Amino acid sequence: MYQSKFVTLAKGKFHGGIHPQEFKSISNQRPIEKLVLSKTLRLPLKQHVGVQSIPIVTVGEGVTKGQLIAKCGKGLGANIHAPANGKINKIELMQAGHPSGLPVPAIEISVEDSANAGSFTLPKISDWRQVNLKELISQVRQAGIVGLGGATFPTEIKLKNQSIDTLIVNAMECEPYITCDDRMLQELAKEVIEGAQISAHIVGASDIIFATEDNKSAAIKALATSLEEEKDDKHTASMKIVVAPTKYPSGGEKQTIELVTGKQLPKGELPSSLGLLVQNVATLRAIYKAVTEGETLTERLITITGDAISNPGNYWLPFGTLLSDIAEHFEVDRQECKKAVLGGPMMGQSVSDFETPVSKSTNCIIFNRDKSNEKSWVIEAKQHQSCIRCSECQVVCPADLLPQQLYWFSKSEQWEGLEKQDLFDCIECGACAYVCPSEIPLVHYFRFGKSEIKKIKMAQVKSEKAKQRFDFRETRLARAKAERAEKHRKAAEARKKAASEKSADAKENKQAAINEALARVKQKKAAMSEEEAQNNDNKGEDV
Amino acid sequence: MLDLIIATTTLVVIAFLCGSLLGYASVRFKVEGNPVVDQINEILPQTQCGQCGFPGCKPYAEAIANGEAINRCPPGGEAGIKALAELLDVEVIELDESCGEETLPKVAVIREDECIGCTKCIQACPVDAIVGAAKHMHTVIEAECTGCDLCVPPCPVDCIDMVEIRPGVEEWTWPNPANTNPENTSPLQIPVKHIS
Amino acid sequence: MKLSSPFFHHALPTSKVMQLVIAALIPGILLQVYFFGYGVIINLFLCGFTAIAAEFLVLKLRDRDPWSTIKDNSALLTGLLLAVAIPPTLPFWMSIVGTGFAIVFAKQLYGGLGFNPFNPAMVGYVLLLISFPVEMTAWLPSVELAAKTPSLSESMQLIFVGKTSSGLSVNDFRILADGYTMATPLDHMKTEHTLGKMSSEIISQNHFAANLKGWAWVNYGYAFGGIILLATKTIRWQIPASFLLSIVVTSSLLHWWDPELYNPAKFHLVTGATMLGAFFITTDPVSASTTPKGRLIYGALIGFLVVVIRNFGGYPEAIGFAVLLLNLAAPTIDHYTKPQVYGHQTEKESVHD
Repeated sequence: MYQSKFVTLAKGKFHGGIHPQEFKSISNQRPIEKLVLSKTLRLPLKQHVGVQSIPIVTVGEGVTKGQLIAKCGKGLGANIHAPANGKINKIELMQAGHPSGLPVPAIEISVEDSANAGSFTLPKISDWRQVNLKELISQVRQAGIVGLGGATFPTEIKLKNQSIDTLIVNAMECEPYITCDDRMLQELAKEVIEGAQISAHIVGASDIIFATEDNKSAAIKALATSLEEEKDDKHTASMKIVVAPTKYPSGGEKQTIELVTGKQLPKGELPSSLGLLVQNVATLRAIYKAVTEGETLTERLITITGDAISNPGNYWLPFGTLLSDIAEHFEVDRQECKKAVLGGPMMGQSVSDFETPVSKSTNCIIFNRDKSNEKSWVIEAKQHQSCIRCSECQVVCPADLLPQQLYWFSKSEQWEGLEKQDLFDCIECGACAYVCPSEIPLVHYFRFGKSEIKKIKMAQVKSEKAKQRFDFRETRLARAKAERAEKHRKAAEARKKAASEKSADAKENKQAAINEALARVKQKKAAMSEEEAQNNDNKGEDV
Repeated sequence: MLDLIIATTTLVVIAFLCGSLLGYASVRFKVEGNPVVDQINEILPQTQCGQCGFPGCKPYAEAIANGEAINRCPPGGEAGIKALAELLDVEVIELDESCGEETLPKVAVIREDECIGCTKCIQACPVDAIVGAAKHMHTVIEAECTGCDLCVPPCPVDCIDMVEIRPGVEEWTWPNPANTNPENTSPLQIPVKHIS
Repeated sequence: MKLSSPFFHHALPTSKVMQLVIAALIPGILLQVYFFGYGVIINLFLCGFTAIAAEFLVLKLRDRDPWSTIKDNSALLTGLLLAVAIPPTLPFWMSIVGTGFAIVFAKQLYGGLGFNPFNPAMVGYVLLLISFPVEMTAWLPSVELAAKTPSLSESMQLIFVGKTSSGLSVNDFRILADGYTMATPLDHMKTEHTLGKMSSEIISQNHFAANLKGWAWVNYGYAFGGIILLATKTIRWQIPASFLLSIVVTSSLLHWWDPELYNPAKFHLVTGATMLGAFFITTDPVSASTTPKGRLIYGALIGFLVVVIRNFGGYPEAIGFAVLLLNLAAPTIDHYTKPQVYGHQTEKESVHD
């Protein structure tokens, strides 16, 4: 290993882990090249953690390289930019390599080589130390940068943390085959260092630790040499390189933290709770490009490797490049290699539909022959044997879980028990399945369990909501009914009262009328008799 | 004779002591659990569809607690029957077909240009998931709809469709690895929803 | 279809693991054959064949594909383990009953490999020991001590007919030159103790020491095989280590308490099936505890029970009973020895702070 005052050994270690054959020398011997292959680029609207981005272009519209074509949706998300000059072909559901095989919303661009079009860039920030931190964060946000190690978490959110004292640059790259970070450090160490300094400046970190494995001696040498040559005393954060023994999965964020600090990240906490920020090499380089040159994120360095291709190596590829074009360029025999793997062999994803595009999360594409000479390569499922509870999976589990128990609960669909066994602490690294003598697809069982539990929880939430709404409606109806009944009762009462009052009056009136009438009659009679008498008198007088 | 009396008295005393102990324990350590009706109601899917013959899930839960069969809930399906059987410690039985068949979850959709605004569906909806006013177009709040079908019959112009919810990318779940047949090579057999 | 990662796999398949365990039995078997005669070989074939046949029949009845399961070699291993645990001249039908019971009842009726809560070989062994205590303790004396040793054909006659053509029975072969009938050292020790003899007296008997030597060599053989298994990481160190340590500690304490009544650790380590148990029986992964701490507890408790039963129990050999008892306890042990999941400890600490 390269001797330098900057290089120290990792002080921590994590439980378990495996030592798979590396296959890294296939691709890390060749210098990085730039490739532009596809005539059409397909860009899924969700290439990141969070919500889908919203297209801001219309079909038929012309776009220039670097131009914003879909903006960050509400909440967590990231901008998406046109990776080339061209025209928007369609915006609809397309095949884009989702593990379900379902189509996802995407934008398709047909590339048009127009020399005069130029490219779109953000305003350059040449002296990033002088500007407002908010401006830097906004630059990162506008450039659409997400974690390029594979997790694709929007970088801007991480940079908004203020309680950070150490930036850990994750250059472990522990998966077999992948060498893009290795190669990037070998060739572009200065840019990565600058990117790290920008990040450290934004979050106020005083230390930068480049964490890597001891199998990347060329990268360590390049990095250490760059640090030694570093004349820029403006750099405020001190830098060192921490080297861990090669063991998969040391690049997992939790494992990297344990290796570098000797401390475990408490359950449910973010690295910032320990004052840490963990960034991938490629992400830092993208930050450097975005800040100093105003470049938006439209391409990435991808390891293209495997035993079925002609020139394995690391290549800059624009997002949206289709696997079929890559396969053609690298002379892949489609009869021998029906499936490619996006990502590494341990945590990647197999793709049989070669119309799948490269996205922000694609750090590696492996074209191995289906019947690869490498015995470790298992791309087709076999009938697995029974678990003999040998516990080799427990021995290698970096999360210190009991995969044999998780398997048991998941297989018998005992979801409660499965959750109690801390299923959700599983990082799906695949070490357990790698060592299983019965070749049980353990990670698949755990993913099945996780998604079933999530589904059940969602159904519970929905049914709980329905219950509340039903109860609410019942009470509302009951209340309405009661109110109606009350109203009716009151109305009836009023009517009755009115009626009874009326009848009482009527009686009185009648009596009165009768009395009146009688009185009238009496009067009349009296009057008449008087008249009569008078008449008689008059008669008498008259007579 | 004395032996007999002693024996009998001893037994009586022991019986009395044990009885008091049990009685005390039942009062002192009384389990304040969910009443069984609530527990049953938790299991029922709350579609409030009435396919069981009761006007909602709660009434059916009460009926089950009083001895009604546990197999009258088609939306709950097999899984629901199993859960009820486990809760009540009875045997799992098949779904009563006279109540309906287990189907994929559905959601009601109003063909809005045909709606005449009669409010009949609004009154029928057990969870108040339809909004609208008299002589104005109605619409279904998809997130609140339980897919109970109850709004379909009252509609005088037949403008309500029950649409199956096809799992999209967000709802998609990993298939059970125990069921994945190695011969079945294509992951594309999952129904695909096409939007143009 | 293979939907889910990883696409990398590198492990010895179960069938090869079983093969390796069988291969590791060979040194012990060779020594056992040397010291106790050809009967061991006949038993190996008899039990091995019975195990495979029983597995085949049950799988047929259960409507499974028998060959793919038999290929995992687990039934064969069960048969072989039982074969080396029983006396070399046990009547053939007893071996068949024991092996058949082990495979059919203790393994397949629970669902086959991976589902059996008890170690099948030990279930077969204990069944035989309880049913036929006389035959199951009728071990031949070690070769250097025996007045006459049965040839291959005599062994076959003893096993299949009960008598050799010259009319000799198993007991005739157990008589030493001085007319003394030899039992296993453990058995002998137990009998002599009941006759009121002191341990030191018994050990100083000439024929006892010679007999013990044969048993010790067989134990060394199995220990050697066990070290191969440890070196190849076919088994993990926890169970054998805690098992042997527990035997040493428990027997030493008893020996310290009363040296004349209780034998020292060095006696317990090399008699009976101690080493076979330490590396081949207790380490059966299916029925053992599966957590690292749990395995330490599991091994230690078996070791403790072995010494206790050997000294105080009715049977001279104790591995079978001890293993079955701890098989019962294994799920509970696992439950209480779940390792600290990543990040959970620190979470607790922060709660306490």
